Amino acid sequence: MAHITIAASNKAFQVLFKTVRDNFAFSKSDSGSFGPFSASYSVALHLEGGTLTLNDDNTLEVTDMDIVFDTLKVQVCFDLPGFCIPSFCIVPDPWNGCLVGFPGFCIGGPICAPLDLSGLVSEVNDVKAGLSPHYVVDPARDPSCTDLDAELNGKSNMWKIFIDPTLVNVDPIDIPATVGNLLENIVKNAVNNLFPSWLPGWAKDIIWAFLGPILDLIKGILGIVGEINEWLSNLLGNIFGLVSLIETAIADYFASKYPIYSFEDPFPILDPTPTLIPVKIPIRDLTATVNSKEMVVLANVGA
Amino acid sequence: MRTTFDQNLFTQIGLDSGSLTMLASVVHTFLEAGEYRGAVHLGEKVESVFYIKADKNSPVAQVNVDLVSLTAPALQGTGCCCPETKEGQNQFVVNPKGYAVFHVSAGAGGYYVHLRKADEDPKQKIFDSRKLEEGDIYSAVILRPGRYSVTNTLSKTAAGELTVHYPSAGKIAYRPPAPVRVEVGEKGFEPRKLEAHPGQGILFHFKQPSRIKIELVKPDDGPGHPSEPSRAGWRKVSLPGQVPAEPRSRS
Repeated sequence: MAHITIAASNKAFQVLFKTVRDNFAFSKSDSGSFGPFSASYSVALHLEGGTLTLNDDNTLEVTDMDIVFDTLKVQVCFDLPGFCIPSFCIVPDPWNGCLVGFPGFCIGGPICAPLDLSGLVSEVNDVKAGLSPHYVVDPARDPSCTDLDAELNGKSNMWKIFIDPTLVNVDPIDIPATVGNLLENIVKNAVNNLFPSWLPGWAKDIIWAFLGPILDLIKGILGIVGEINEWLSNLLGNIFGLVSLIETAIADYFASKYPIYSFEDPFPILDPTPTLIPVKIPIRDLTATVNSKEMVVLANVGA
Repeated sequence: MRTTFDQNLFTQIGLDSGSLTMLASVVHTFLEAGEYRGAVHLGEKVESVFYIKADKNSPVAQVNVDLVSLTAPALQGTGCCCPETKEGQNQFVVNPKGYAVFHVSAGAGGYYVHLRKADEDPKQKIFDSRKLEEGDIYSAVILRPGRYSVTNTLSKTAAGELTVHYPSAGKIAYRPPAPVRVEVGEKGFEPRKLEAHPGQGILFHFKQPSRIKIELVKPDDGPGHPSEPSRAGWRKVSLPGQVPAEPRSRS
């Protein structure tokens, strides 16, 4: 039988978990070139909500935890092929080809569409985990220090109990369909800005007619087959690998960055007095488990 | 942001086959083999000289002669281009049954071309783009919607009308239809009334000496851009705190 038994009720564990969850933060930025276009993004996010369930098989599960994108900025740049007077045939040849053609010409330019999707909420669909106690020696601790000196220097050895995920599943980033309108307006404005001030209205109308529906134009340039929001979600989630990066960051954070509970070793059981040093007991063989009612930590006392 | 608009595309509204600009080209076929000397004129001034060899053994059916690149200042006196290079750029080869296409790729243009046999009397011209003849083709593109008059300035009878329709934004991107073909003969233009869309080619084939002039008679500014002066006019400068005068309504 273990010398020490500590238990935290389900309710207490929920409170501990909230602290862990609320301290998670992730930020990342990246850019890349993908043939007809280039893109970059900048993201910063935190976690909210979620339903924590403790199971009798020594596992815990968090479902429906929100990913709140405090910053989600994407920029897509591409070359507008512009307004082309296409070559046309002046003298056709007998084989339906063209013998003499009018040399065509094009006007256009590079366009960047910055999309600010900050505030978007996505979801961690599922986290399955167990508990994993780690014994941590502060690497900055002088090996010659006694435990008392280490405590005085704030470098005590620690037992840290981490949530150790076996599965983290983040949903694809749910970009709203309205991003298509947003992109359309940005590109329209960019094209309008491309027009020199001297360009008459009739010439602008001709150019718009040549360009056609702007969403179709954008889709054509970027090679988008379906909807723009789905394409953008795929770009961020799969091509830039942002979903995997978030999953890895969450798993890494729970498993090694922020323990759900920690205490120092040796553990103080009597505080110091003006004449006496504190009484501390060394803790060994620590285990942490959960069942549907509580978290149970068992340990032995010994050097 | 980079733009590649050439203002001349939208400001040069009329066309003249004897004064080539970006929206037009002249096509000439030599028929007879030989070495030809061409001169690019801007008014009376010869801007550049080039040579076209009409060679029976040449597989080239079309040679595009960009009059701008022949006269571009960048090729002259910069010290970076050796004479051989410049000369090389002024030499063209085409099959005698092929076509030479004279066009202007940028800028204001206004050129015409003289051609003669290289080894004959300099005064004996065999082609003058101000006087297009049977076998030559003048291709024109009109961008500005409106009603135009079309005349052959070398004939008193040839006069026609051209209407260029205003473009409308559709569900698919607009592409100009196939070129319209016009025959210029003794009786004038056939057809006499032409309809075209912006950017659509208009090809003039000739049965008699011609110089085609296309001039805007009435512009069509479409529904959103009424053809009234866009100037705001004079307005009294208001002092701080004063309400500025509103322009009077045209209705």
